[in-house]
Amino acid sequence: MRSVLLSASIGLVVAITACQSGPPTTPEANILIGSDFPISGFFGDTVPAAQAIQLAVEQHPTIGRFRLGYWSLDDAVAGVATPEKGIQNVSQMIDDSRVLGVIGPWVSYMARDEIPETNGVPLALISPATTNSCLTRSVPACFDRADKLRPSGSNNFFRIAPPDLLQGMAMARYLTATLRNPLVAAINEWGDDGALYLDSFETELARNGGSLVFSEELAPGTTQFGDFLAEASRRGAQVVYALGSVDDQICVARRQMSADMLFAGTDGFTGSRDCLKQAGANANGMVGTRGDVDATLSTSAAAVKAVRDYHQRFPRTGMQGFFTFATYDCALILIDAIQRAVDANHGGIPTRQQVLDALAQTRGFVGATGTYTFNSSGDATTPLMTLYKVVDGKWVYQSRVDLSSGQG
Amino acid sequence: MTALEVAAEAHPDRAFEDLVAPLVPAAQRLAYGMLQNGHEAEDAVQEATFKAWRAFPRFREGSNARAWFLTIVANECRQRRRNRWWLIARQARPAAEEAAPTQLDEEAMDLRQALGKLPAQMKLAIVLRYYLDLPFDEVGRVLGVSEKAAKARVHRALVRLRVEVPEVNADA
Repeated sequence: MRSVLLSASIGLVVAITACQSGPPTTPEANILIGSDFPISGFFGDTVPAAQAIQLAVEQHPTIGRFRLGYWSLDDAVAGVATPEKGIQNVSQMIDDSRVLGVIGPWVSYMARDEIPETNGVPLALISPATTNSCLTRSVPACFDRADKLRPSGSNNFFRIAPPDLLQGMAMARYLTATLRNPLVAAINEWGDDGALYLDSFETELARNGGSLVFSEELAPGTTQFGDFLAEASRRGAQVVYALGSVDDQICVARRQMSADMLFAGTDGFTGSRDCLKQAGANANGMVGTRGDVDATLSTSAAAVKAVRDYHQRFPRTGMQGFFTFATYDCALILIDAIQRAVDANHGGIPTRQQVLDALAQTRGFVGATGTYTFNSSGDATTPLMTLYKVVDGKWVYQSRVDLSSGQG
Repeated sequence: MTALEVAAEAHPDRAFEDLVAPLVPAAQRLAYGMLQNGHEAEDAVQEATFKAWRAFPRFREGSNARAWFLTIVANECRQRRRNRWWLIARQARPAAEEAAPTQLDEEAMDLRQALGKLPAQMKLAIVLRYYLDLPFDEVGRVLGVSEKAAKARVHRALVRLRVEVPEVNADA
């Protein structure tokens, strides 16, 4: 049975990827945008992402007097993103002078090989989904420091996904925007790792008039929160901020709380159905952050248009991945940079360096998932996170949280 | 002020490197056991090391450095396991791993698949005890529980594993 299922799965992957990876969609194009995603390994997420790039290119068939095309390559081998294949792909793109920028890679470990491979060319990379801190930082804790990944000394890598640790700041901003001078008690089941989230949470909370009145480190898997909750209540806490995982039953704390106290946390439990079960009858009202932005739930004009256009173009695609519209934004940001580079080159085809310079100078680009400006390391300076809330027993989109000047 | 605190104040980065560098191989084994993808494991250890560096000012001399660091690595791995695309990736098993196993390979594969089905905390307990060969008191520190509770957790995980793979035999 397993081999039958496996054969069926492989057949499905081949069928899906046949039209998603291969030669450029527009062979006669003068300018190409490339992408390097594990199409055949992560087909649930990366096929819609590749479609989103295709849509962006179809919406911008020409730049100046030049025809724009899209070239998608698959970096998965036997279902898994593979650095050797990624290097082979970007080498192919480097060899085709029409390629002026690449969207990708999808996963951080691929970037460690692809950044140095493209850096000397230079060929711009813009990634929708990589979050590894060391890709853009040069600190002793990084085995492959950002400066070592960029042998030319200049940056050619950009990304729009926010680092996980900003979740603390995001929740503090949400709480202080919705409650007047909130008093918060925190449970930390993640040890020093959790303390990093708590640091940014507490700093931002205090900056906006709230305060952390009590925090306690508890063992992961704790199921009796009575003492903690009694102390939190005694100190006047209106909110419990929980740094813990649904795997460790953190949402049991919600079940034991009084309903008038708010329960808030991170992607350790946000969106989890198990968390709803653990919280029981008290589930409603829980809030939590996630590091991705779901454009399908946004009411911004750019997001509504992008989602509508995507569904019209790909009506049979039943689901988008978490980063579909982040990928769409990456494509639009790159197209915008190429347009500016063409203009700067008096209407002629720009060099890759000119495109890279234009990309680095992106300021306030309004996309479906946020408004983007890059710092000198290539990180977005105005990342966004999404906040979800439990309403009628289900996690529903609540709002986006702007994390401007939040990079740590 | 302790010797470590003096060193950390004078050369904080070197003190961090001296502390963590010897622990990286164990961290890699832990991450591989949890994630079962070499590249992903390496990436998780990198991110965990960055977080450990940020958290280093909290580290106190006399604390168990290995347990402190492995706790951060374990948290990073758990965070990645929750990530949806990672789950999709794991469902797409590499074809090479499925091809014509020998008897020994087949048992190892059964064990690995059974391990993959365990809840995260049970899996972590097994990896710490049997991949890293940590004593139970240290397993407990990483799990955030007592030595006795760590033994119980490893035992419960083994019971679950034995249902899937009856040949599993161990000391808990």
